[in-house]
Amino acid sequence: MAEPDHCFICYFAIGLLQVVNALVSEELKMSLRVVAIAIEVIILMAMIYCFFLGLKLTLSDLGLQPRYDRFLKLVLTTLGIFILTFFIAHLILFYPGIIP
Amino acid sequence: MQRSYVTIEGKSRGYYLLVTLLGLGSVLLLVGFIVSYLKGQQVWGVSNIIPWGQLIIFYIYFIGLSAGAIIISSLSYVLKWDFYKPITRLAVFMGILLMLGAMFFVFVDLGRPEKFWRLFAYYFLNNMTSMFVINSIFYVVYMTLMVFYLWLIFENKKRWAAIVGTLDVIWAISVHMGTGAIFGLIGNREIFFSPIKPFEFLAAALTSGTSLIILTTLGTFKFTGRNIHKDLILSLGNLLSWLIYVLLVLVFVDKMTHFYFPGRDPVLYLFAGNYWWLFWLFQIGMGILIPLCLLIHPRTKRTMKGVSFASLSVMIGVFGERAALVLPGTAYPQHFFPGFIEGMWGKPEIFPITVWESLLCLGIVSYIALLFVLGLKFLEILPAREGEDMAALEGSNPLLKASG
Repeated sequence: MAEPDHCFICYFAIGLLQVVNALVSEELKMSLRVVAIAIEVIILMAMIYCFFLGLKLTLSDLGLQPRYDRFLKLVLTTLGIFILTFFIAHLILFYPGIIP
Repeated sequence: MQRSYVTIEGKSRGYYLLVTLLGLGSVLLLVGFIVSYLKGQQVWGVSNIIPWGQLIIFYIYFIGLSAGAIIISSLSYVLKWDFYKPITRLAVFMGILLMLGAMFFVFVDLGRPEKFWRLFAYYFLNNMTSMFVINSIFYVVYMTLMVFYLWLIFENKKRWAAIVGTLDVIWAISVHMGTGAIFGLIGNREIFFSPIKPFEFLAAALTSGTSLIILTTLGTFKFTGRNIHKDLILSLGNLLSWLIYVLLVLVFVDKMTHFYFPGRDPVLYLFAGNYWWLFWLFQIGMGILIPLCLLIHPRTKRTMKGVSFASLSVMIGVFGERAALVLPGTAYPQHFFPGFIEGMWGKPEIFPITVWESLLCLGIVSYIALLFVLGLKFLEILPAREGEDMAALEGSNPLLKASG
């Protein structure tokens, strides 16, 4: 099988990563991973928030009266906390290293 | 007379203390989940030999309680016995929460809960001979029906509530019989395998559900200062005694059928093996004999204390019954090729009770209890106290909350 052609930019990027890898300490790599996980958790939770808000608005459109709002908000908030916990656990376990 | 329902004020010190305690209990679920997810299921008591542990015991227990609560709720809306109306909303609300709790248990038990969607990926195009697939359809429709049923009751749409309630009760029966069939149709686990198992599950669900309704009614009515109608509790106690008779007959027939055949070793293991105490002390003693004695004795059957003790005994006993099914049923070795390969090392196993699995269970129970307590504050579930009726009718306005 023929070797895939790599352009100059690919070689440059790989070389740059190897240089950074040699220079950066293990602690910094770990810190970068934590920052990346935090950013991803924020993005995912924003999506979940939008989904739950959409659900709440849909229920309102279907005729759910405002007197149920507080309980619904409470249930969705607690479920959101569980989902947040899941995302944190999942990303801690499976998120790849930022620098190879 | 139009009965009115109110929220509780929920501003007392006791209420805040209860919410705080249950909130802290719910945090255990988060901590337990993170530890279990990062370390894997090795921190639980489950193993290759006993693959189902505490979480599955709680799961089938909660499904039973939910189905039992929904069936009891049908007494007023479906069978039109207005006598039971004060507890209908409570029963349906608890049915929803308990089912949610059951789903939490099974969700966490997956180990990798993010893969749950695979069960629903093709829905009815899945392998429809699998009891797990059939039950997943049962559960989704059951949850939807219950929420819709409660909403119709809240909105006082009686005719529709009766129709949806009837459908929900039929579905609740199917749900719990389906859960029983998960166990009853596993041919290689002799303690599980039984065509009677779905019916036994249903009878146990009804007894534990009725007991839970009795205890919750007594607890919430007492702590919110409402009059407890003694006749209502005694009537539920009477119903409970008949349900226990049915359960007794089904357990007797099931065990005797297993006992009749020459290959009776598994049932002998259940009776006299490592877990004999689960069967005799909990399932038979606390689940059947003690409550029956309390409910047929002329003195205790007419007192609220007697009925509540019987209910508590049934609650513990039916939990023991679930444990007496799951643990010995999986601990007993399977005969893959009799005489050649006898299950995992060919010997019964002991299930260890581990901290993280127990904390997870405690966390889920706390979370469901927390939702129940908060639900009393935000939803009109309890009947108004005497003299509160007018306030309660205005209670549909969220700004005018009656005190509780």
